[in-house]
Amino acid sequence: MSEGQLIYSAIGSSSQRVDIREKVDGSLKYFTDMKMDGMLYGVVFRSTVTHARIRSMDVTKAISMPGIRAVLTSRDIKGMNAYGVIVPDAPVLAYDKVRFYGEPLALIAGDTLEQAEAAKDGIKVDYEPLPVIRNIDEALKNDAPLIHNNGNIARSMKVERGDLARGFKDSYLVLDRDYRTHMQKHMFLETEAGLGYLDEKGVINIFVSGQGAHSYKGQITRALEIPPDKLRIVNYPEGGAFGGKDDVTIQILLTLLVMKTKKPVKLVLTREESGAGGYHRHASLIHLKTGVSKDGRFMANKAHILLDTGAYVSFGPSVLDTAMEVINGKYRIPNISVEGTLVYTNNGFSSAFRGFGAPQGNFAIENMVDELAYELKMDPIDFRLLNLLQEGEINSFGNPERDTMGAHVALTEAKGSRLWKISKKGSLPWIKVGLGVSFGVKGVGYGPVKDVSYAAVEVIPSGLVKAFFSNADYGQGINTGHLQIVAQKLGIPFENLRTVNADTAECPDTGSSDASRSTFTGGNALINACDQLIEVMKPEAARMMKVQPTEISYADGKFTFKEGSEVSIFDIASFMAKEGKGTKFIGSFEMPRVAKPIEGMIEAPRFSNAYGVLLSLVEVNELTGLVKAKAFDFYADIGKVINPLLALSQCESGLIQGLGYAITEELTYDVDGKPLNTNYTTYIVPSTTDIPSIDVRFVDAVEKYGPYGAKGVGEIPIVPVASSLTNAVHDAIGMRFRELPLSPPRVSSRMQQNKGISVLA
Amino acid sequence: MTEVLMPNTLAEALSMISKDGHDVLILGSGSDVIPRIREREIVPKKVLDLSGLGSELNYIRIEGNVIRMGALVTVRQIIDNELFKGRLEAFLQAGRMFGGPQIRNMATVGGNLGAASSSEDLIPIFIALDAKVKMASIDGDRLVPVSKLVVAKRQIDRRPNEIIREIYFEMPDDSSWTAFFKAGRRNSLIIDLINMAMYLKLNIDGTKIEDIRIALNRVRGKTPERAYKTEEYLRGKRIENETIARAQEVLDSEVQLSSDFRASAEYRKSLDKVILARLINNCRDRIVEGRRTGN
Repeated sequence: MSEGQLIYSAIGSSSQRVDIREKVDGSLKYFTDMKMDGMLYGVVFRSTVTHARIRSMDVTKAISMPGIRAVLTSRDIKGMNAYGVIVPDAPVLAYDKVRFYGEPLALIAGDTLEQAEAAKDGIKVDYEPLPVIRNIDEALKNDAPLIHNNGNIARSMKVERGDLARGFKDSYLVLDRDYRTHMQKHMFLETEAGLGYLDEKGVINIFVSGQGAHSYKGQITRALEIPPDKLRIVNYPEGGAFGGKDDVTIQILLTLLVMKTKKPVKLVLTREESGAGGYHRHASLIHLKTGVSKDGRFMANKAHILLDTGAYVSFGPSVLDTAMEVINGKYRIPNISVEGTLVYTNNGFSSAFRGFGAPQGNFAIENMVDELAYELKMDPIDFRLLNLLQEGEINSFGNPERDTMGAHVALTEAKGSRLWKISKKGSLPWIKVGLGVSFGVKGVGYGPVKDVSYAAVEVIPSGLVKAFFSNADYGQGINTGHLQIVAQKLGIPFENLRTVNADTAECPDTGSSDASRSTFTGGNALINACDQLIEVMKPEAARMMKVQPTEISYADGKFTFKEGSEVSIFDIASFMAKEGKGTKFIGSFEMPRVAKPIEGMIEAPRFSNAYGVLLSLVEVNELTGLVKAKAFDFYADIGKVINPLLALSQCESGLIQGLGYAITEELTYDVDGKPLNTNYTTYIVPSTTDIPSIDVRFVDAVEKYGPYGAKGVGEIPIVPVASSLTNAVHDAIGMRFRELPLSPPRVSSRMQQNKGISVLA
Repeated sequence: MTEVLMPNTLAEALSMISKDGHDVLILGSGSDVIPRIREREIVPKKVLDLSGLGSELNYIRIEGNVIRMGALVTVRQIIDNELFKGRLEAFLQAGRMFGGPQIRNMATVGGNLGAASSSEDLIPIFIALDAKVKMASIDGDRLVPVSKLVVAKRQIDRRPNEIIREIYFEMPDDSSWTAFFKAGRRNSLIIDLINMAMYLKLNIDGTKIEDIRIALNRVRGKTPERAYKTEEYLRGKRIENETIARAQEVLDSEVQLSSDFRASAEYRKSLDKVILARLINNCRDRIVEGRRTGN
């Protein structure tokens, strides 16, 4: 194969991950493996009550304990002592009140981890307990105790369009339903972790497991009053994030420890700390009332979505907006009213989690869609296709629809799935088999907020091109995907490319790896940087060759005048360097936005959307209530696929994480608001033996504005899983589950109530 | 600081704990103990590591119709051993769902008996087989019926100077079978919601239950125990739907299951009934099948 062919196929080839070798051979160091000379161990002293006023806190004994170098409280913080990506309502270290079990109160730095841990016994806190709010319903009671002074509602939004009353009046069938979803933990293999040190220039260097770099820096400098030039954030290769490291986790705590001790400090949360103090997916309560005509057309949709944001807001408003965005599916619904309420409780701390509210909204609407189709005796896919918006039609939030073609294709292809032909006869009399459908939508990018991404490419004379971007590679493979885009654009072989990822000292601000946006925004910014490289280098090449710029053209890493007369970008870089000219080019990309935003909404509606149709085959054991997923067929429109293997990995991982969400996983708090299942023994993620047969098909679709036609794939796979499974369970046993998870006790008790099933095996 | 004792022979190990044995934590593979030490759930002064005693305590052998297993036999070894492929199917059913592959490779029979947590899967099987545990000490061996071994959750009848040496039981005859079932939220690495083991023997003409032993965890409190009343009811009965339904009621009144965040007592009770029926039918079917095929 010639070099030219190889380069041309950069997009659409399953290039090997650039970081695969060190991950497989074990040489990649994670924070638990790292050590520096003179390094101290940081630990976090956390609240052991859920909701209380702090009368006093005494750390004097801890300070005098062996090996202890620092014990820090809120009094050691000079800045605003608060963080939160949207509203800084969470104290870095609590001082007057604690609002969830496991909230940070103090930091300890010790010579050894054991000494630092032991010093926790030297801290005494006097609490005045307050009543605990355990769920949305309790938070909204008139006499509910207040978690924050401004009340228990953190955000209210309402979007209306058309004439709702009329829509319901003209409906043939109206269903009024409540849906409830639970809290899910990210359970990334590497907990929140980092290592920081002060360098000889007085800059605090923070290496941390995160999803970006620049947004943390802004939050840290604000909370601690540090000049921006005295802080560097690097996202080190890490073991997973899934949204749980999108907002600040330990970054401010670690910076404070380094600032005060002036020593290298390592801080790695234990699994149980991560469980109690880390983020989780919002629980939801969704009231949904939907009307359809006799021939199966949507007439009206009224939704009220309530999300449990826990003690603080974090990404809550964005998650709420996203849930509101998907509650109309992508269906033609002329009359809508969508209300959203974000509610404070004492259930830890909700934040971003893969799907960002879309799985909750999807659970409600796709359960409803399935029930409507069933009642109307319509095929579930035909019913969806009939109502799916065509391009150009005005959608529920008032914008012309622009990209549902791929969704039409995905739904149509799903009609040919192998699963429709599988026998629904169970292997035993009490094993019931069912097939369910769901259609998921997940917007790409941040929606109506102006989002400009910057990325850079630099030509190194020795023969390398480096790509700089700050959206972190936390395991999804964006380093590889981005390099494929650069390889395609510049025509440079993969082995001549390197990445510098998520380092505030070197990378322009590309934003974070979230909202399924990295490929779209970072990829386009890199293409723009490459365009600038070509534009700036072209006259230099012409000078070197002593021809006019208009007479030469760029291809495959070189400018060519005519056959045999060419100069490579590496030679040009060398030539430019001699004249003191820089060869690093910063590109930018502004994410397109919808023409008509909704006042007050910050995350939706979005311009571009990924789509996924999921067919699930399940077996329900009528005796034990165990629901087993046997097969998933997933049809996805993610735009042009940059790397099929990485895209497939994303789909498989999202489907499996969705399976856990739907059946085995549930973060549970006791009556006092203490989390009960914070580790892998007690919090049940699916094991390899639970994973069904998975078939993924990418439909042939191109996003006009995406890099080489790509959209994003990170989140869409998880969105339709839970609803697809509940719809399959309905097909199997004729019962609708409107509350998650589909745990054996829940399924079993419903079956015994409803059918009085005998337990004779 | 914890002192780690590493004997090379059983005699050496026993002399190490002949005095002050109550300060010593005995370590098999560590698959149960090490995580608990890490969590500071236990803070041992001394640890006696048995890993050097493989040549003395790692064996599975059949003597006459008695099967003997050394304390250091791993779950993996049980699954791989031909002895367990027939009437002792309960071990395979438990073994396949025992932790994950890494734990199956590490975890030992002695450790399972010694840990005595509410979720140990092997103990109910040993109880159903009426097995006996041989405790070794410098004073000689002492026998403890496995049904009397677990005194309370994580507490067994072992004196401070003793080490679990062996467990043995009779091989079921060709009119008998054993079966095991556990239910959890996923297929592996699961702390079960409920588990049950059964030994069932049919009479000569295969029409009635001649003998039955049923062991399940969490009968009273959190220890595995025999369901004596259910057994008594079933003994001598024909296996019919009516009998099973009545047996389920007896079991329901006999067990006192508790609720926790994993599942409610009600759900556990309904599972118990299902599992009871399934195990009876499973054992009966396999005995009948075995007779037909001459195995």
